[in-house]
Amino acid sequence: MNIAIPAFNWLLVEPLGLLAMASVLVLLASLFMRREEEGDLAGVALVGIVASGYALYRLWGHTASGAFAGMITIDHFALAIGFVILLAAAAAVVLAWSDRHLGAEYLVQILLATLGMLLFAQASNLVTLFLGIEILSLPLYVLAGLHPERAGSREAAVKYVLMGAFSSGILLYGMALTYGATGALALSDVGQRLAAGAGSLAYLGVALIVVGLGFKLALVPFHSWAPDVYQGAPTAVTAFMSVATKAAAFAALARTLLVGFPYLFHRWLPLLWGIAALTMLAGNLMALRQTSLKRLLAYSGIAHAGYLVVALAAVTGLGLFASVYYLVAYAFMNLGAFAVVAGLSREGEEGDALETYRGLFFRHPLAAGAMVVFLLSLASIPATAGFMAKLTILLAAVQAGDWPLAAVLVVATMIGLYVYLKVVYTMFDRSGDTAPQAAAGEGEGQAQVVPPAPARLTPGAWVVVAVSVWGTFQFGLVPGPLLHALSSTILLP
Amino acid sequence: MIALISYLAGLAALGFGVAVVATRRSVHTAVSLIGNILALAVLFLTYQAQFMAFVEVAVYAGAILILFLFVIALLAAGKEEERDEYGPELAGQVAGAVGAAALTAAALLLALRVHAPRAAAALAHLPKGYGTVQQVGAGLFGSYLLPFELTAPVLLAAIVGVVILARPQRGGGEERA
Repeated sequence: MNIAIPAFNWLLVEPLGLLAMASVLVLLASLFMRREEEGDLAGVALVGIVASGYALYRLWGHTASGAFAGMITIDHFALAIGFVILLAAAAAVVLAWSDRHLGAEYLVQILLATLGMLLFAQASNLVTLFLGIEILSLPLYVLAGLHPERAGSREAAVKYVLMGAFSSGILLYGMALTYGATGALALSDVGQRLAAGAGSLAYLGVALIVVGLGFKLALVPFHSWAPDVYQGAPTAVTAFMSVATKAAAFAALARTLLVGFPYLFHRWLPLLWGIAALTMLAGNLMALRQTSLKRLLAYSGIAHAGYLVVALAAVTGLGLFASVYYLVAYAFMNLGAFAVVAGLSREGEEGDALETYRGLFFRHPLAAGAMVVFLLSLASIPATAGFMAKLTILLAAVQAGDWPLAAVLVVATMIGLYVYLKVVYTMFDRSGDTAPQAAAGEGEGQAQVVPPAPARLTPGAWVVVAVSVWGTFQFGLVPGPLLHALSSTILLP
Repeated sequence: MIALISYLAGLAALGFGVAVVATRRSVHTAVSLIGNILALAVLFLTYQAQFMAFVEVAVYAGAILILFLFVIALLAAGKEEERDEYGPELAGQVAGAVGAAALTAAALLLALRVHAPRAAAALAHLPKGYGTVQQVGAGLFGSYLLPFELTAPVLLAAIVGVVILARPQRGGGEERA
């Protein structure tokens, strides 16, 4: 029998292909290099990421719905999310440039995870959706455990693998039930079949898919892995994970719900409302008690995922637009904050205890100043990107009539303000210079006696910090160009 | 007849599945998993998915689980298998058995009442050649070409990951040498 291969437009997967090529190139080149030289391969990885970004840029305006027999959809939503993911990947590569613990395998796994995330954001079929989550998860499991000499790193990897496998199973079960209910794998087909009517099978399917993706997005009550993994993983990996995974998983959740299950929205919307309110409040409240900056940022990341879900729960074009804008802003401020943490870590040991930062301003005025900018942006203080983004989400929620959710968002933001200002206060507090005090909360703090931070940030960290400061101010003070560019952000079926 | 076979196979799959969780020795668990996989293969056959049935047996039962057994044998070599001295309480066992029986009965009832007529109707409408190797191949190189290609990054990531995790751990000083 003859197999007719359909004519595919391979240019649509050029961004994915370039990342795959870069990863293979790094892998092969590392065979001929000594261990100490492997760090230089970061240049190759960076070129691959930039090339992939250029390929994405060329696809802007050339959108395609249901390409590759309905497997992926290239729309401006996926492309914009793709830029955020690539930005985080570039930051992860640059941050690790001078870290001799992270060799070629680190770069290979970052590149492959990035590929999976791009796919995850574009997937318009349950098959590609699942492949996306697998391609992004497998490298992240390994990356979380890349600091073998630190016990926490292995623990983080094991926790992440177990929770990840669990969530993949739940997601897969939801997909199986959805397929059973509709007999379709392409999301747009699922949506059409469900328009005719849906049974309990489809309800259960969509609920399980939300739960499965909720794990990846670290939404409360599925968040318990995030703080441990964020703390145990190398800081460059944490920065990458907290931004890129969040963007990709959010894109997948939005596309699945809005394209696959638009006719069941009265079923999943209450679910989203509950999850969003819980995530925003719990994330900020738990961040209050943290004595480790990485854990604090992890809980803050959880809260920010909640804000994103508020934008999604608006189920409007403005909501979707707001979420993308928020992700761009979040990428800059969060990458910047983690870059400072990574830069102030000694080799092989992480300066993540909050006490390390006491009086930081008087030792590293520039780094502390940048950190203040990022923290204020995370707290959504005016003149920063975080403020504009939060405002857009609030606008979307109010416009959609989600008054209760908008109120919760404001309350959660105020709690968050206290969290971030506490860190700012610590950095300007001089009292710790002579006698380091015990950590403020009893919470989950580990390090009580901490060495002062090293003398200077690594060059890579400086680059990421500088770009992030620029982004935080650029999109906070002059949001016009970005708003205009993103105004065409719509989901294609 | 086909329906009867599929129910028996489904029951067997459930039973072996319970055994996978319930048995305490790793060898018993692995063998139960093989039974579960074989039962699933029979299920696939009754649904006309011959290729899936074959792959299920060849890959899972034939390759992966045999590997499991080898690993268990190697790890257990030289070690006396520990006797299981603290089994669950009798009450727990009874409760578990009753629960499992109730679940099985419910599943069986559901299958007979709801599923049987639907399955029969669905099988009658299957296109010619459904589930055969040709059909699977046409799918893999046709509309599912992109997912097929994208399994390559999954495997690459897994291979590199295994190499990293299996590498002997080095001390901090050694690494910089």
